[in-house]
Amino acid sequence: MRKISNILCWIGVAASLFILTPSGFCQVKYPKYENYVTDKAGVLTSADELQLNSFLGELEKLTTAQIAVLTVKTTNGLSVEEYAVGVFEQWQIGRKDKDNGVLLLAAIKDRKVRIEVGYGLEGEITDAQASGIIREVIVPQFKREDYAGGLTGAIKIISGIISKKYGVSLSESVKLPGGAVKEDKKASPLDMLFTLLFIILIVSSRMGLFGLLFFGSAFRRRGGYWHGTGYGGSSGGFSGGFGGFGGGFSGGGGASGSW
Amino acid sequence: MKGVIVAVVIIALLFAIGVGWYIGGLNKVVTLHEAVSGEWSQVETQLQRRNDLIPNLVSTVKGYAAHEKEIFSEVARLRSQWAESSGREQQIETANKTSSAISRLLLVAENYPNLKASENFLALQSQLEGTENRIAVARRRYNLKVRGFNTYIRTVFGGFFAGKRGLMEPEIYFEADEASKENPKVSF
Repeated sequence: MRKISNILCWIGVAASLFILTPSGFCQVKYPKYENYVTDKAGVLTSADELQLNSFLGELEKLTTAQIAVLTVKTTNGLSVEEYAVGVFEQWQIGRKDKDNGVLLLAAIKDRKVRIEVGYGLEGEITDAQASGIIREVIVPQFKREDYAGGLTGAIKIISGIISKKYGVSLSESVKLPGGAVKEDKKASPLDMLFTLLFIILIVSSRMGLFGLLFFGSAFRRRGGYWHGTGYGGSSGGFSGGFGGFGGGFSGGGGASGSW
Repeated sequence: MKGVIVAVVIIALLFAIGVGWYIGGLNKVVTLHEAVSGEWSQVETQLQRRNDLIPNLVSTVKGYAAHEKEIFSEVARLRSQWAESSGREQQIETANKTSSAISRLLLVAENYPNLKASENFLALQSQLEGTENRIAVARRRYNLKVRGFNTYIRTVFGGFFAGKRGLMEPEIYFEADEASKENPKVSF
């Protein structure tokens, strides 16, 4: 019997040698997404973020399209175009079969911005349009350091285009941040406490205590290297139904600009 | 008796693993090769798209800078050369030349403030930038697939399977000219 197990062992080793062919893998570190809005540069107030997230959640619920917002300090030497494609590849914004995602990327220190459009929306949001949004909406407001205003203005236009494509009207119930007033960047501890309590309340009310535990672990899991599949369709849950991005692809459509 | 059964089972297992491995290897060569072709068609689509923008670009720039004939004729020549070029190697060469010609054309445009300010030109320019970026993305994805295929057919067993399928030729990388790596950017 010993012999047999020895042989089986060697078969296993041999088989794994065949299966595990080396494949080159190099990956730039991109930030993980936190919600529709991932504010790594810390230029949005938590109130703005909350509003944007629920607005974008609403948009996804109505149209299935996903708009992701990412602010970073710098793209680490990559061009903003390369960086945007890389983030898009990793996050997979938009539905898998529709590729209806948009990434709004702002690199604050580099003073570079990009709208990366998924394949499925290239017909509606043309490069010229994306470039127009950057030139006329984003850049003027970013020049005044009104990042919330610039991003919100762009999101308004883009979501308008998207909702037109899908023939829905966005409800007025979800207000977008005004943008003009720039509050303190740092959220006060009290604010954060309230936000946390709010999240816990919502999550536990929708999913129970178990859900809360699960939510915690799911959130941690999201931190790992994770390729989303099938998540895009989920709705309900916290903050307008953000369940991760789900399988969308882009091929470099959109536009970039600097301010 | 028991020993015989065990031996038969082991042989059958080995056989199954061997056949599975063989089929898997053959399939892998084909899959990797098809992936390269698939990405190449993306590259072609984007290059074609750029070529389709050229007449519009030329006529717009011509309206303001009619005397810069040299660059116009070169761009036109490259555009027709693209239609005639066959095989990836030739296509890549033509594409790279076209990239640098377009960059030069945009540089020419730099000297004409009225042109630069025109709505038409701004729209064209953003389309062109978008297309250049799409080409860059498609090129990168193509090169990744080429690397996957070329690496595989150079491995010991990969080479064997590639031979079986008649796919021994490594695929060509799409190396961009240094000049065309920069997107044609015109500052405002």
